Formats: sequence, C-alpha cells, structure tokens
Amino acid sequence: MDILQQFLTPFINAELLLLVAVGTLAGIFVGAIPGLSVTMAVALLLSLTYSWDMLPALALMLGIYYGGVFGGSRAAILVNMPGSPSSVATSFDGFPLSQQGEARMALTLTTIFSFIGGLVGVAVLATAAPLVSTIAIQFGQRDYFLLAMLGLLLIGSLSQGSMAKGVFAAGAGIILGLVGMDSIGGGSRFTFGSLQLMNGIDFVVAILGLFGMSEILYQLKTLNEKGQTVTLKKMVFPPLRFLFKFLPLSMRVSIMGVLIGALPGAGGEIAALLAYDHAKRTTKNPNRPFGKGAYEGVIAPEAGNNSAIGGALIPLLTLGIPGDAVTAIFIGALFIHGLQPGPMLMEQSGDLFWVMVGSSVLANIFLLIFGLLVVGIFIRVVTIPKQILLPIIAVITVIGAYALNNSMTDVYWMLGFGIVGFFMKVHNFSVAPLVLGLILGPLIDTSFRRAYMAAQEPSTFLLGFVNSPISILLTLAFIFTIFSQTKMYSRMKEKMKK
Amino acid sequence: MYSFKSSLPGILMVIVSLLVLSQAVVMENQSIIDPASGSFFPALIALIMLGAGIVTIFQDRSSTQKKAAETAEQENESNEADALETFTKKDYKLILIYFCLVIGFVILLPILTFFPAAFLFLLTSMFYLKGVSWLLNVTVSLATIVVIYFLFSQLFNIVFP
Amino acid sequence: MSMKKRVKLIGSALFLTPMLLLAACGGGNDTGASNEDAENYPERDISGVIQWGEGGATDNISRTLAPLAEEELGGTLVMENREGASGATGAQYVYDQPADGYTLLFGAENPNLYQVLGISERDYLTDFEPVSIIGQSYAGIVVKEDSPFESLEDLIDYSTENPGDITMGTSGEGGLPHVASAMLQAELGTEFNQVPYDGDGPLATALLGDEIDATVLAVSAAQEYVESGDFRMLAVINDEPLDSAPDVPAITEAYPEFEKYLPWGPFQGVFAHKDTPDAIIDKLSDSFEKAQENEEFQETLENLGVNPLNINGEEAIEYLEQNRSTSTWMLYDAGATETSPEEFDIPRVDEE
Repeated sequence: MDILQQFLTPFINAELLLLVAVGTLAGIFVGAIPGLSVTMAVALLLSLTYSWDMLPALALMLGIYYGGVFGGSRAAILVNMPGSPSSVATSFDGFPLSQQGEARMALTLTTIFSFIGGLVGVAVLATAAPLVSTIAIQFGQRDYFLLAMLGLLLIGSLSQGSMAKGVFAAGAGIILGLVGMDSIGGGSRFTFGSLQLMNGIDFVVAILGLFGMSEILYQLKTLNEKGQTVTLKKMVFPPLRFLFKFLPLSMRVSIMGVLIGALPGAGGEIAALLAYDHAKRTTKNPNRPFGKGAYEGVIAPEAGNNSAIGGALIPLLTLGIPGDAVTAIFIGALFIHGLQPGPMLMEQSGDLFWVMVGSSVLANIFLLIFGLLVVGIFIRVVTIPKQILLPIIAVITVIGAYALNNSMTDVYWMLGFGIVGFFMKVHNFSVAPLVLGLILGPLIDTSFRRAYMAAQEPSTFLLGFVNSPISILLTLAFIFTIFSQTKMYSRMKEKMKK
Repeated sequence: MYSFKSSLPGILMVIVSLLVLSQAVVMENQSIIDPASGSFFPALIALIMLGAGIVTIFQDRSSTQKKAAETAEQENESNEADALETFTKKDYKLILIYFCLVIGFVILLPILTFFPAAFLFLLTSMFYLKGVSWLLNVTVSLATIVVIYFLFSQLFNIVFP
Repeated sequence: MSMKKRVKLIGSALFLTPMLLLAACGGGNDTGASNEDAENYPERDISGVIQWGEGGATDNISRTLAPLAEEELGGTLVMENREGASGATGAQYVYDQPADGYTLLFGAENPNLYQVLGISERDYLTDFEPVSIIGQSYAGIVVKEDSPFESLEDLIDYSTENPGDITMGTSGEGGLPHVASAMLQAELGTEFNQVPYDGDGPLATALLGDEIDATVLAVSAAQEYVESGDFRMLAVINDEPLDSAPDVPAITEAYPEFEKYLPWGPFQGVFAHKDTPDAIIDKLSDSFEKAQENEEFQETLENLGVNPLNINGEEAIEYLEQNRSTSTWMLYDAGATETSPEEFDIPRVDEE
C-alpha cells in the first residue's frame, strides 16, 4: 500500500507533476539542439535547485533526462546531426527517411517506441533492480571488452561497398578516440606535445563535423535544383498494425537496452548501436534496406537508448554507482540534499525509489504527449529553404562545438571532421564506421588493458574468457556473429532449408 | 596513370596507417610488445588499418581491370561514379567558397565576438547562396542570433569567445 | 515552498534570470586588465572554472558554494567545467587568462603533483594564489567483506611476502590510491599489482565485482558500503580514528612511522592567478570565507564527508606546501616517478 502511494505521489502532487512536465519538454529541446547536452542541463539544475526540497529537484532533473535523450534523435532525423552519441544510430536510417519525405513518420514512430522503450526500462527498474544490479556488478573488464567488440562487428553492416574501407575507417576512428591522456598508463598518446590534445577529441565534436558540417557542404550541391525542399508525405499517424508489427522487436531491444544501461561502464550509445545491429540482423524483410530508411532502423535504437535510462537508474538507486554522466550528477544531488547514495539508500529512504519510479513513468507519458505534439513544430525544419537552413545550421554547429568545452580548438577539429566527412561522402565511404570506432575505441582499449593487467599473464588472461558465465556467453555471441557473416553459414542455412 | 588514380585511396590508406604505426612505436615510456601498455593496442590497430589499405589497393586494381575489360555493372562502382559525376567543378567551387566563409566566421568569432561575427556570417552566406530577400535575410539573421545567444549564453552560461 | 512560489521560481529560472543577467553584463566589455580598482570589483561576471567533470566531489562542492559566494561578492559567478588531463586543462586555462580576478580555479589536490608526474608545468604554489581552501577529506584502505585480510597488518604482510599478488585498484597517476600505495611501498616495502580505474565509483564497482582485491577510497564514499556489509575498511589514513568511522583504526596505530606524512588527503579549494592584485585576492578571500560559514553549506560538506577547513592567506599556503611535499616525496621514494621533487625546489616533509 505504501509503495503504491509513493509510486503515485508524482501523479497526485501537482507540483511534482508540473516539474516533470516542464523538465521533459525542456529536455526535448535541449537534446534536439546540437552542442547542448543533457549533462550540461542537469549540472546547471544542480546549483539552481540547491535550496529546493529533494523530490521536486529530482523530478525536474529526471524529466530533463528522459526528454533530453529522446530529443537527441530529432536533429538526427531532420538534419542528420545527432544531438548526442546515443542518437548516432538513429541517424543511419532516420535521415534517409526524412529525405524521402517521411520525416513525420520517422518522428512519430520514434516517439511511440521511445515511450515503449522507456516504460520497459522503468518496469525492469521497478521489478528486478536488485537482480540486474547483481549481474551488472559481475560484469568484468573482459566482458566490457567483449561487448565493445560485439559493437565493433557492426562495421560489417555499416560499411557500404568495400569492407576493407570500413575496417580502415573504424581503425582511424579508434585511433582518434585514443588521442589524449592515457587514463591507464598516465602518459599521453598522439598528442604531439599539445596540451589542447591532452583532453582528447570529444566525440560530439567529431559527430558535429562528420554529420553536421559535412552534410551542409554536401547539400550545397542540390541547392539550386528544383524541388529544393523535401515535400512531406501526408501521413497523420502510423497505422496501428505498425505498432503490433514492431512491438516484438522493440521489446527485445528494450530488454537489451536496460541491461546495457545498467552497466556502470556502458550506456545509451552502446545500447542504441547494439539495438540497431540486432534489428538489422533479425529483420528479414524491411520496408527499405537498412541505411536507406528502414523503419526498424529508427525504432530499435530509440527504444534501446530510452530503456537504457531505466537501466542507468538501477545501479544508482541500488548501489549508489552512476551508470552514466547524468546519473553521476544525480549522485551529487542526493548528497547535497542530505542522502547517502550507496547500497543502503533503498533501506534508508525507500520512498525515494518509488517516487523516482513514479516520476519516470510520468516522464515517459509526457514524452509521448509532447513528443507527438511537437512533431508539427520540428517538421517545419525540413520545409525551410536550404538557403536559410544551411547557414543557420552552420552557426549552430560552430557554436555547439565551441560550447562543449568552451574551446576554439574543438571548433577547428569540427571543421576538419567536416571536410573529411564531406570527401568520404563524395567517395562513397560511409562515415558510420569512423564514428563507431570513436565511440567504442576508448572502451576497448581500457577494458582490454585492465583485464590483461589484472590477469598479469597471457594464459590467465585467455582462460578468463571461458571462466565466468557472462564471459562465456559473450564469447559465444561474438564467435557466432562473426561466423554468421561468413559464406559457410549462409550455405549451411540454405542446406537446412532444403 | 589511370591505374595510379584508381589505387590512390588505397595508397593514401597505407600512408596514414604507417604514420599511425610510427607514432605508436615512438610513444614515450611504453613498450609495444606488452599488451598492458598504451602503445600495444594502437600499434595493433595501425597494422589492421595497413592490411585494409593493402587489400583496397588490390581490390581497386582488379575492379578497374575488370571494368576495362567488361565494363563492370557492380552496383557500388556505378554508384560511386554517379556521385563523382554529379559533382561538377561549379559545385566544388560553391562548396569551397562556402567552406571558406565558415572558416572566416570561425576566425572572426574571437576577434569580433559572437554578435557581429555571426550576424555578418549569416548575412553574407544567405546573400551568397542567393534566393533570399534582404528583409528576410536580416530578419532571420537577427532572430537566429538572439535565439542562439539566449539559449547558449544566458540559459547555459556559456561564455562566448 | 508553496506551489505557486515554485512555479514562479521555475519561471524565473528558465526565463527571467537570463534576462537579468543580460542587463547585468551590459557594460561588461571593457576588459581593463589588472589595474581595476578593487573597490569596484567585481564589475562584470566572474568565471569559475571547475577542473573536474560534472558530478564529481569538486563539482558538487564548487556548484553549491558558488551561489553563496555570489551573495557575498555582489557579483555573478558563471561556473563551467573544464576537465581533462587530471584537471591540468582547467588549471592551464585559468593560468592563461588575465590576472584580474575574473577567472577563478575551483580545484582539487591534483595540481600539487603535475610537475613531478610530468602532466603539466602548472603548480598551485608557483602559479596560483589560494583564495580559500574549502576542506579536506580522508582516505581509507578497503577490501571486500569476504576478503581473507582482517586487518591492515594482514594485507601488508601478505603483500610483502607475495609481491605483486594483490591487485590494487587505483584511480590513475597521482590519484588517491596511487599516492597511498606509494606511501605504503615507501615505508613498508609492499608491492601491489596496480590496475587503474576512472574514479571512486568504478573502483567501488570493481571491488564489489571481485576484479580487484583492495583499494583506497575517500572515507565518505566507502562508508556506505561498509555499513551495508559489502566492504571492510582496514584503516583510515590519519593519525586518529575519524568521528564518521570511529571503529576503523588509524593507520598510525599499527605503523607509527606514517605520523610524519599526516594530515594528508584530498582537498578542494578556490584559486586565482598568481599576479592578481592583493586587494582583489583579499576581497575574494573574505567573501569566500563568509560564504562557507553558511550552515547549509557546512551540512553539505558533512554529507560529502569533507572536513571543513575554510582557510586562506598564509595558512592556506602552508597547508598547500605540506600537502605537496608529502605527496611528491612519497611518489618519488616509492619509485612511482623518476623526477625528483628537488628539481622543483620542493622540500622534504622532515626538513620543515
């Protein structure tokens, strides 16, 4: 009874209700603007809400969190500029959809399935938090390594045309991701003695350049062609059968999303990438090929990254361990408001847990409502003539790159990535593997080395892969995924059919 | 000459991977053979990149040979050709000049501060891209700057250069 | 706070404050460098640079202190995070700005070690003037509850007999566990297999997941897991047990030779460029001193497990010198760095 009451608190309390609503709406716009991140917004709220009570402060922050992760995909779909790493995967099929006049469809579908993903995340948080956190804790460095390698296998499906070029681009991405101070050895790598480079290359800067700036340059070509603006296909609401058709897929990737989100060392970006990979491997007859505007290609990553939020809250509330940068700030907020986030949190203030669960459900409901309502506003972006739209996006890209770290160096990097991305596009080199490498490279590097250092010897290190159940499972998944890309597998499959 | 041009991407790839590899080898305080050190992994990646580059050289060579022989109908190749063909010199000129405009904006940003630099950039780029009336141009430029300034600087406390 | 009031607050937070700020920085473009009259200081927004990322201890403390200091200063503090390279990026940035008191560094203990570890040329004592040292935290040596090591002596004995067998989680070069391991190695000849993680959170996770055998955590961070029965704290690095963890023995109980290093631990402080006019430093110091007296802020510090210091001027400089000497010489003696602190004229602790 108590639990139900706590759960319903944010629904009944007008103040909390309003704060979650304001937070979600603001989050959608913050996430949609490249260069403004949810992390920045939540950090600002930390000092703003210092004198508030704890629950209202958390309600507002939670709203921003859900809205922001969702909002990131708006720009990814409309202008091919993912607002955050977790919406990179959405742009693979989202932007092609919008170029073919189906922006409204893409925006609506992602909203509905973000909502579903978000709810799955909260449901797992509410029912299985202790179990999931036990699994997450057992996830060793070797397992992170395997998980990242699994993600890296996406190169195979992302590199259009030549596989070798895809591998090369991913390798270049990994190297770029390693630039800066080596968090393990302490030395610096590929910095050429520059302190600016010690900081590493922010992957949002790379995304702004490779996707945003290069797209601007690429679009200039079609500037003066007739029909310069995309004609929007008329579509009020996706047919109901879509909901049922994509429900099983969205459920599967949502469960994946929660589990990955719950890992303290991996978050929404990896959840979204693996969800995309999963969708691509399991969908037999997509409406269009993946990469050219498959509905599954936008649904899966969006369901995945939103369910990862529920996952990220699990280690936060059960162990006091942040699952990502945003939940790290939540920890700060709990401290400031007099709580001790840690394994005792649930026992000491159990009401907090259920109020958070309630607020999360509420945030998802608002996300669905606002998400659908603002489709009409966002959609206008596509109809703005390019002569006006491109310069505006150029300014946002430049300012966004600067705003990340208040650094002009980042702006120059962004321009560099822009020109590289442009030429890659012209020569039919997909930029996706490059971004994949940038995101996964540092994780692969650190997890591999930590696992190796802990094992101390090559034999112990190799044995580790078959020593724990999680490692065995991931190793098998890795081997199977590679095997399934070989010709032998497809031949075997054909034989089986016969 | 033609075959050199076709294997240019591969050659570039090989050069880049060799550069990376050399940087990994000369890295300070690291031993390249120890998997736990900071240079082992980058060196490994560089080798893989090198392999990909070499494969590309051979692939491109054989595919151009094929092309010469039987005018290959492979989808990728024709796609690539399409994309390259549609980019005329005029297109490149437009893109190059526009990119210079963006660079100019970035250089002026710390000198002129955000307001004038962004205003100037928006005005000239919309003028350069043609098709926008002056009134609309000025209105859009002003509105964009005010909105961006409000969002980034005021709401998010970002100190503009 | 009533509902109406809160709505108003959100409203002003999201929309009005920026407008007021806009008005406030109207005359802010006359960058008259260092000659500004301290009486009029601050005439424009002061930029506060936090050298660690959002959500860390330094970030939490800085962001809660900032609004309080604003009231005392009568100006606006615009906070930003410039993390990276163990905080060296932020320190360098503040150093590169004009020494007019309009850019402040909100930093932790790390810059004391930059020179010796070769991370950066910047250093608190040579490049910055302390405005205020806010507080110090304590470190504790922890193992998992089911670990065979019941006491610090067990751990030390085992690691001296089986060098490299115990995996010690660290938070990278110059971090708390790294320096503490150096301390143990220098005095007792222990040898650990050190595996670096990204901070307290990942370290706690690694210990829970049996990836590492022992680590050194801020007492406040570890205390929760000790209470829940997940961790056992073997000792606190202090010369007497702490009020917050009365059952845990001080390291000096078993090994009195550590006395000379203490008090030692991570700290947070506010710093300005070395050449900032004294009058402005004084004004800043006064304001920050008063701001820290706020009761709510003291509670926040207590929640974060930080022992309030609130010192400035000579006292702060002495504190920095002591901390730097301890950490740098310890690292050097343990062989964790080849650069001798002598190269930077850092005296040994014993000589003071």
